[in-house]
Amino acid sequence: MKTVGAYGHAPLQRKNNVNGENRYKMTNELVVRTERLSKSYVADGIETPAVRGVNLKIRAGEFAALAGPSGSGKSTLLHLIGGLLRPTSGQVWIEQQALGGLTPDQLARLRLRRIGFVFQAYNLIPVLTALENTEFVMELQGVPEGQRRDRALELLSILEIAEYADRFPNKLSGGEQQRVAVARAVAARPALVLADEPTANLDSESGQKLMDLLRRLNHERGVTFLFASHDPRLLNQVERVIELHDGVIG
Amino acid sequence: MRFSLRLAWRNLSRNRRRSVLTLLAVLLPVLILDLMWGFSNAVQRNLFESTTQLETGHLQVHRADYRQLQTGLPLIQNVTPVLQIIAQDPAIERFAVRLDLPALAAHGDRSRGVLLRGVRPGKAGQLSALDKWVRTGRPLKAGDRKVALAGSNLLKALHLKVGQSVILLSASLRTGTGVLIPKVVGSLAPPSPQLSRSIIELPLADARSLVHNPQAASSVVVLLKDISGPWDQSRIEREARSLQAKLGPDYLVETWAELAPATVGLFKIIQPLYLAFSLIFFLLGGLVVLNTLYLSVLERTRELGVVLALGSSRRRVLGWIEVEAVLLAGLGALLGSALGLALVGWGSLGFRLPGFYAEFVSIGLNNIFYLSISPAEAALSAGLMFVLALTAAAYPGWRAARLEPVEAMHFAG
Amino acid sequence: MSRFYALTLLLLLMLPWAASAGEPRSGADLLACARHNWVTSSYHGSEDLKVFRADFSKEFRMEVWSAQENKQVMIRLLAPAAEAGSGYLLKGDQLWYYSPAAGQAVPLPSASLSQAFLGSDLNLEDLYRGTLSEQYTVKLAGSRKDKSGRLIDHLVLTPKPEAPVVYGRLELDLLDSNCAVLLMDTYDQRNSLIRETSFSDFVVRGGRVIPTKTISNDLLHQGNYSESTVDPSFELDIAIPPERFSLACLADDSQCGSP
Repeated sequence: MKTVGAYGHAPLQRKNNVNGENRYKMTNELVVRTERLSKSYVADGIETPAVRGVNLKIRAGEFAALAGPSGSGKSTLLHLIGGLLRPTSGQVWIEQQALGGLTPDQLARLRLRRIGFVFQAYNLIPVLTALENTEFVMELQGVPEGQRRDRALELLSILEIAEYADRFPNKLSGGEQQRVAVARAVAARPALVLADEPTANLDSESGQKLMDLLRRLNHERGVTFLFASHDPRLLNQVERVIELHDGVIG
Repeated sequence: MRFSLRLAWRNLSRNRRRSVLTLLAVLLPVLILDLMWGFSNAVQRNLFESTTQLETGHLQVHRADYRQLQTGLPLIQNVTPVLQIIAQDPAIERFAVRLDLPALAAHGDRSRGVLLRGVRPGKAGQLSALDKWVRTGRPLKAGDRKVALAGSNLLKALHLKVGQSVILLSASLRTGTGVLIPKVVGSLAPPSPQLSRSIIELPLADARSLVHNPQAASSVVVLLKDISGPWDQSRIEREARSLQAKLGPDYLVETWAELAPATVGLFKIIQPLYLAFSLIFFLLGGLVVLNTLYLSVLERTRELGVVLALGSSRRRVLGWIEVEAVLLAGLGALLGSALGLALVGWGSLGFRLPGFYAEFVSIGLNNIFYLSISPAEAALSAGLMFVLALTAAAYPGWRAARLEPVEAMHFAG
Repeated sequence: MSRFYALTLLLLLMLPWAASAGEPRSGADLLACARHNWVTSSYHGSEDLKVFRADFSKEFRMEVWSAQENKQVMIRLLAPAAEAGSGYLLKGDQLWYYSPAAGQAVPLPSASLSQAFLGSDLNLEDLYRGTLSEQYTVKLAGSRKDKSGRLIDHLVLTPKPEAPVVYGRLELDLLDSNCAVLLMDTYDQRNSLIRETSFSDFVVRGGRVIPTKTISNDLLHQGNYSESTVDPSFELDIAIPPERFSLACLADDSQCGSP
């Protein structure tokens, strides 16, 4: 097992942050662990490895990113960790739970309870308002309506889009939509938020704004983030960068 | 559930045109089916009524041996005891004594074989549509003697005019020859040209004078209470058995179905025909629902992939699609039923077929149709379509639930 | 009503007279011989007709005139009282009925010819089969001796193809000695026997052998049969005034001309 980071080694005891406040500390608690994780795609009889023998640990409270050029396997690794893909070999644990033996429904339940997703294309539900989108995962979790609403509104105001709560996604800018997507991911109180190229579709200002807000959530609320990105603006702001090349960390 | 409903409702509003199309796909079969059933019932009722009211009644009492008698007239020589029993039967609404005689009608140097129908003039005694068919002149009145009404084709064939007299000859071995020379006071235009060539209506007393028997009758025609169509057949048969038991073996009680097998045959053609049409409408409606819901799932593949990725269970996704189907199918079935019932209700007041459809009337129908539909039929058309729509939605729902989240999210459709 | 059957036969027998003595006779010869018994230019007589039904019987009495080999026939009913005075006039293929109650002659549709005459087992249609002999092929099917040793010939008449006849076959038994017809069986188109007519009580008048009793059995309806008896006082080949066969005479006996 090998953990490599360009900006230091995890776990770190956080001392400072951008906003000068650090209420949460990283703990030794492992949120993600992978062991010899591999994934190959087979097309036209040719096997193409995307992720090869990855060993990775993410601890609670980390603000980390998988980096590497496109095709390096970072999205695949993210999907493997999120239980959206099944590995060809190796294993993923989310908070001690091995994903290998789970049925699709058990995997879905685990994603629902423990993992938040932010996608490159925002992927909001177009017929729901910003507020409803934020409530969506909580609704699936069965959080009572009042509580759900309060939590959603609180997050929307932290993400500074409370005034757009009743807008539908097509009336929001890309940055605003992505912030709603973040609110939706975080509102469910997951152990881990996986974000695949969250800034890729945003202009630099919006991207910067989003990263600021994500860091704030990480700091103030201790939300663990794992990004997959090749956006230097993002990579500059994370505390740990895990480089991937041809599906191999290093 | 409220959330699911809201989601489904918004999804339906998202593509209004398609939703309206799906709604129509459910609504129209229900509406058409209600109308078709309404019309089928109207035709059946019309046929039933023109058969029972004019010709057969619901029940008829004859001499027990009337079918075996090859010669002579199968006359009930004294009908009074039969009438006493019938008058006391609470299930009987009204009855009429009839004396049908084959006879010869002559005028000048022409003559034709005719069917004489002796009836008691006036609504109560007549129990027939003869009055409705009076084209010129007047119907029979109580107290009339030595007057007759004749089919208009018969008048033409005999070169006879209203106001002139006609010679009626009746001859049978048993009753001997009877002669009557009534004055024709009106012409009849029955729907069947054949009947128009042969019918002569005259007062019962006159018909009885032709057979030299003031108590004679060929049949007693009985209409039962609260019978509206062939669907009441089991009650008619029950009453026939009960009346037969009361009258004893000298008489034969028959139902309209035994007396008019041709009409029963028509029903046997009509019913499966309507059933086949209904099935076709159902299937077409079902296919449109299947198609539109499938398209709407296909269109949302990516979105559904996200929902699955976020951790929604497959059952939940299936549920959403089904809720949409329930909303559409329920609304469609409800609106279709409401419209259908409204139209049937409007048609229940009676309407005439326009233009060339009037041709149908020549097969013995009245050209006034009264639409009707039973609550069971209305519920069946709406219910069946609702269930069918849900069944049709199951496939796209199942497809949606089977999506692989990652693949679905990368779906380009 | 044997007269009607007699007339039927008469028409049946209208075959070329081709018998020559000494030679064995063919079916056609026999039929022609039988016809000779009935060739009359005119006829006048009275007859009784009894109609029997399972539960019921009725008797008519009538007077009959005919002329021109049955092209003209007049029938006057004498009994029962209810029917007395009514009558039928047949001229060519036209038929009239007169009833005192109607007070005038009424033309009857041609269909009446094939209907039961006076409700009996006989009909007027057979009377009108003027072309009957041309419609049938005659064959001598065999001969036998009866109990009293008389030679009986059996003729089978089958319709020619396309012939417009209602019967499927006629079979006759006749006495070889004088060609008197004893029995006629009528078959329908499905070849089942529907009527059996027997002739008896023959009288010889002017060289002709004529039955005075005819019994017709309806085999389709058990118990239905008719019996007609001709009064032996009948006259043949007499002069009948043409007024006898007029509508005026049908309605009024005083308009029938002097006998």
